[in-house]
Amino acid sequence: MGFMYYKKLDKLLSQSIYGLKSEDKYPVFIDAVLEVTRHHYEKCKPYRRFCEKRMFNPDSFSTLDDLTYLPTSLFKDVLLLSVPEDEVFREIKSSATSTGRSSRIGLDKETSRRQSKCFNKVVLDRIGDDRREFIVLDESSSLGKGSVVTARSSTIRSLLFCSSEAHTCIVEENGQLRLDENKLDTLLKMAEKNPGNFIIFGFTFILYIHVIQKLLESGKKYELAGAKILHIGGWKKLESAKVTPEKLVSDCCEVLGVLKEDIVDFYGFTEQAGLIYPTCEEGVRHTPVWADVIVRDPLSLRSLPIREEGLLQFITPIQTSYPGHSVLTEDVGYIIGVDECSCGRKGKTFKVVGRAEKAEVRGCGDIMGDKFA
Amino acid sequence: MTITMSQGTVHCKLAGRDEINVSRLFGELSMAHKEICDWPVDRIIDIIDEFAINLLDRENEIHRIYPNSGIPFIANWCKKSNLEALLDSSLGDRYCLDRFVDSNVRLDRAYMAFPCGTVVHWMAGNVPTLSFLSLLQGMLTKNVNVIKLSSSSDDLLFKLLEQISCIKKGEHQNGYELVQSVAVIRYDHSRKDISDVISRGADARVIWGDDKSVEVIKALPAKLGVRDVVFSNKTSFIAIGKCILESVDIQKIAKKIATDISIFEQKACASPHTIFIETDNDSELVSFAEYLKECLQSILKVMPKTMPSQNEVSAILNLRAQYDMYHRAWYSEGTEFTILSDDYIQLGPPVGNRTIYLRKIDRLERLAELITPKVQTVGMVASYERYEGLTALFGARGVQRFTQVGAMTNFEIPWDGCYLPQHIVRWSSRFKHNNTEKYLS
Repeated sequence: MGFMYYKKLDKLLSQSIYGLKSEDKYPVFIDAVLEVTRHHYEKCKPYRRFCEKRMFNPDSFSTLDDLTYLPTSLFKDVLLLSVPEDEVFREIKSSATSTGRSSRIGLDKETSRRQSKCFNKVVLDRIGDDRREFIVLDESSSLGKGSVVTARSSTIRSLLFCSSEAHTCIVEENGQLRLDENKLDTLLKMAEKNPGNFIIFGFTFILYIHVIQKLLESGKKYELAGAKILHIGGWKKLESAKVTPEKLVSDCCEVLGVLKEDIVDFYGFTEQAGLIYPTCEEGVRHTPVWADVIVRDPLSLRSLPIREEGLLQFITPIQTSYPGHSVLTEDVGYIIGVDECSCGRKGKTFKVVGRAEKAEVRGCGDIMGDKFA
Repeated sequence: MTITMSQGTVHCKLAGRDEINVSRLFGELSMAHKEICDWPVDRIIDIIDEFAINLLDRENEIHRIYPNSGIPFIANWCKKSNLEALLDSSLGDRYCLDRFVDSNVRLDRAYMAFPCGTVVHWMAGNVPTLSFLSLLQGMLTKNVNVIKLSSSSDDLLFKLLEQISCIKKGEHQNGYELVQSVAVIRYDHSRKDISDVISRGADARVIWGDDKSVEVIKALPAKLGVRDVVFSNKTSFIAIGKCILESVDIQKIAKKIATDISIFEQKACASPHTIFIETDNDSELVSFAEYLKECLQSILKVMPKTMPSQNEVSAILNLRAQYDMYHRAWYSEGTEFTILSDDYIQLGPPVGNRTIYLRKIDRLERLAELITPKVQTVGMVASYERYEGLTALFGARGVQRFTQVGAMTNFEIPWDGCYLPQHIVRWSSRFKHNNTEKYLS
């Protein structure tokens, strides 16, 4: 089976990631969303029934607000596909959380390729094109490959495309994870010689609790101005430890000597893998040209204006193997503005305020945190 | 860490060595309690009755502050007639709380119900009203009462106690003294040290909560002879008998059921989560679903929906999506209410937030297979003959209450098959002394 051709989607993906103003972005974006929605409507029977019950027809929607959305939690209960099952070559599973259920997302090669492309573009836009050495705050097996991969190792692997070399500094002993402090020290000292060539990557909780806090306690400091710190997932445990994003940034600057604007916090979720929202130099997140965010009131489900907090809905046409093009997350946030961030990137800017209590609250880093001795 | 405690109406925030402060509180409660033991039970009833009258006054600010907390229900429950019936039905004769009362059965014996001592009511979330009704039963039986609220609970209970403390019936024995034997404690659940102290001080532990919370509380250190009364997770449903929907006013039934579904956002054990209709006619089910949808919509005007949490919204939307894809669903535009219909014969599972499963069944008797002692209430709409047979059948399987629809969540005694006042008194019996005879035969 050859690749399907999505003309409008391809046109959208050829645009500058953050270069278009709203008036230029939305006509191209809506066309692509419409094209992909029609595809899911035709190819995924359960999705079609869902739309029909809601009297939604892809040919008659006018604004993104009208587009039906699926809750992210649905993907934990139902495997939805818009391609024949034999075209699914990889399943992505989210971290098994306190609900005990993980999302199952079926990817065909085309979607996987598209996701990687979008992901890479966003990452490179934020960290630059040069290949660098990665210090990964995880164990070496997370760098391996398999047909079913966890979201944690998938995230690590997907970032390594821009690495020249990857080092790890966490070891597993009797099922428990332990930071190899000597190895980390050696790696950081090596990085001090040419900080601009290094990226430290880890899950947020591990980075702070098992690295930064330990360095703070020991009084050790490094001079890594020019190096970048990338972290992702799992604020929940840090929230309970009263660590705010601002504190994480200032403590990282203090012990590692990195610059504030070089600390990048990635936000993303399994149900729309490939979409990643890094904080920009101003500390906020932007929607790229191939994504949009809407904030909805939890009770009325109506969309909310700028600066009002509600549940975050994300729309993107990049997934064609499953109808994950419009999903309502359990995360709360708000839109800050449109096309006006002083970092120069266009698009909506938004903040994620909190992830849901109880439900799919824990990111990979939180799960990993449980395994630490 | 700060804990909030209230003895009577006095709130205090304590920091530092909290466990010592809690121990001292127990001592102070005991002092206040000594006096109340000598009060006639009718005085306590009179105070609560007057409190009920004040509470029913719509000008009372509590209606404005807590608009959807079942205040009118609490008020009606606190009326003298209800309290007298509660004690008489639980203890045989309420005056056994004041003196030895002759038995009608053992003519040579008389019985008196003394307070068992300190009753700790553990309220793990759920319905705030229950904490108050649980407390009242402890007060009526002249016990010292400590209520452990969940850390996220509101101040409704404090407000209610404050209103009781303002009731004046005479020179002595007024509301103020009555609430001096009550303490309300709220602290973060991680403070096991405080839980240990409270549990060790209890003569009876009345535990309201889910199975997991109950297990945790029961595992706390306690006196050797502590009495545990557990009101744990229960579920409830509605059964509608064959042909009923043709013979009675369907709208009226739907309206009453909508009330049962909307009260307490289905957090009460007595809230229905499933409706079984005895029919093989699909259009009958659909037409009932549409009536119910209308009623749930219109009830929003008088019982506005509270804001659901993020994960509750997700659960509701997930079910709606699944039922739109594979079964049938009717729902509001927002997350206010949801009716789900499938071909399964099962209870729930409970979702809450006005989410109800509507299911067809060929014979209601088949529901007996689903019933365990975890089923608390069944709202019945059936002919007299069916009602007789079904209540006997379901009751034998474990159902604790049968009510009419529209009255499922009305708290009554027995609750969960238990007369609470019976469990928080200590009985003493004596022989009937006849002055004219020798006291030793």
